Amino acid sequence: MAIEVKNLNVYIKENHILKDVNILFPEKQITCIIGPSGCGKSTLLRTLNRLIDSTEHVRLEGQVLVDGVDVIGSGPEITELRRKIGLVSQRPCPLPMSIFDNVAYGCRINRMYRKHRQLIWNVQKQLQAVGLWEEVRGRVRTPASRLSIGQQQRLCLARSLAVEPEYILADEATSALDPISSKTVEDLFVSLKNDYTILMVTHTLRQALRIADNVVFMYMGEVVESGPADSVFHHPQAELTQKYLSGAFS
Amino acid sequence: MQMKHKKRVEELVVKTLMWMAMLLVFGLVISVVWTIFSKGFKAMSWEMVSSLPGGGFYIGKEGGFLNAIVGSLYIVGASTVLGLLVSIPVVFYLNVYLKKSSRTAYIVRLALDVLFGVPSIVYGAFGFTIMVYFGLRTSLLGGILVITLLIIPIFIRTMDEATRNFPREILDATFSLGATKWETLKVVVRQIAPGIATATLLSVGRAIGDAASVMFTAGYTDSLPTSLSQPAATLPLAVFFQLSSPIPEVVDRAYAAALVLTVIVLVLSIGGRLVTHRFSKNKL
Repeated sequence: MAIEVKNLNVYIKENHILKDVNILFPEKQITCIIGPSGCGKSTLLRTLNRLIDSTEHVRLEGQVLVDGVDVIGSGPEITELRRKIGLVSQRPCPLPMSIFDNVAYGCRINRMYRKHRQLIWNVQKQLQAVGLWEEVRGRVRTPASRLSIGQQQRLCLARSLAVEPEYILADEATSALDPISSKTVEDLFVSLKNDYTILMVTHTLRQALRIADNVVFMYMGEVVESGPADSVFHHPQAELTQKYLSGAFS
Repeated sequence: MQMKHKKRVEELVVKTLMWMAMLLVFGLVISVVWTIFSKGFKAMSWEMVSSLPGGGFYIGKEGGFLNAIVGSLYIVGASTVLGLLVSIPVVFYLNVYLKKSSRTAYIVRLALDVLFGVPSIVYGAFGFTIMVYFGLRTSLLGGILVITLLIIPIFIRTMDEATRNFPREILDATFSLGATKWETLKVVVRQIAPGIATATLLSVGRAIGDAASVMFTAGYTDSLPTSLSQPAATLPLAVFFQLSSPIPEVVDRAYAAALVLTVIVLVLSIGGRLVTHRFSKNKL
């Protein structure tokens, strides 16, 4: 249950976006990917669940092993791969339907339950898991767009969890939120790492410092340094990492 | 000081010009509506909208134009449904299956823009040619099909514009739950529901008001069509035929028919807006 990236190169048109990336994301831990804007963090995440396929003129080389199976090239059924890898994006984006239907949507398209009662039960379970149930229990049939931004982000997380993924990718999942919602979501990720392998792109070093087990530092499409959070943060080997951590550039 | 003064004058001039433009548009609407109402009301009666033309209807005697009202509603209703059935898949394919820089998408959009600009009489002539080729008479079916062709470009281009602003994140979110492109249809349709409603309103407006395309294809009749192969009357043609009459009573009835046409469009627009409002509550 781990993701291993081997010699990954990503080109978009003539641009070499990811250069020879090698990383191992250990299972049931939080790995934070840090680095300045435009260094390829988001592209890396989008490659893992192959959302990058919808980008034009993209070329992939190398291997991405999810559970030991290479997902680049022909790979396994892409919808099954994506079901296994949940995604929480930067801006919360509930689907244009009710709160209940948002969480149920994935279960329905994956035909997970035969009985409606099981579906209802699962939706409730996921809403509880993200601490939203108490806040919305009387109005799960109302449009999801009426929730606050922080609630919407937790709803998106519940929606991902509902299809029983093994991995969760979070692309700056807290950066659009207010400090309190941000803290709630951050705590959620920490509580989820017992059951899921979490990959998190973050812009806030302090957030990485608080919750990361492992850290990957990227710069200009290359992995400069990666390893346990403690050693990367406190004993960085590369000069670039030291500079970035000290705030010399961002 | 000089500068400040210049800016104030400039602002005043521009504001006046805009007000005048607005008054012109507003005045136009008022005068159109006023003409139709004042002239149409004279001839308007329950008999007009509830009965078929009698023997002497076209020389100012008994009867009404129920045939045209029913014919118009049949044609508009059926062609709107057919148009939606064809257009939604095209819009979905253009926006979800094809990439942004796709040549096919470019050519399809260009073709639709050309179709958009083709005058309705050309559609009528086209439909007429086909019908002659197959040895068909003017019929309700012919009218429905030609009106469908007429409104498909409006449907597709209006919905297409609404879909192009579709937030990419929503598609990504749907895909990352394991959805195939086809399975995102439900999400896309819900998100662009207001766009679909606008497209429908525009299409219905064009469909119900068009005289040229139905003249040779749907024909005209004094009775109600009971099957698709029978000719059908339409309101624009009812206006057209009666307006060219030398008898003043008949000309007034043309305005009454125009009044009914306007009221139908008005009711549909207001109804459409209410429905749109209901549907867009889920929109992000």
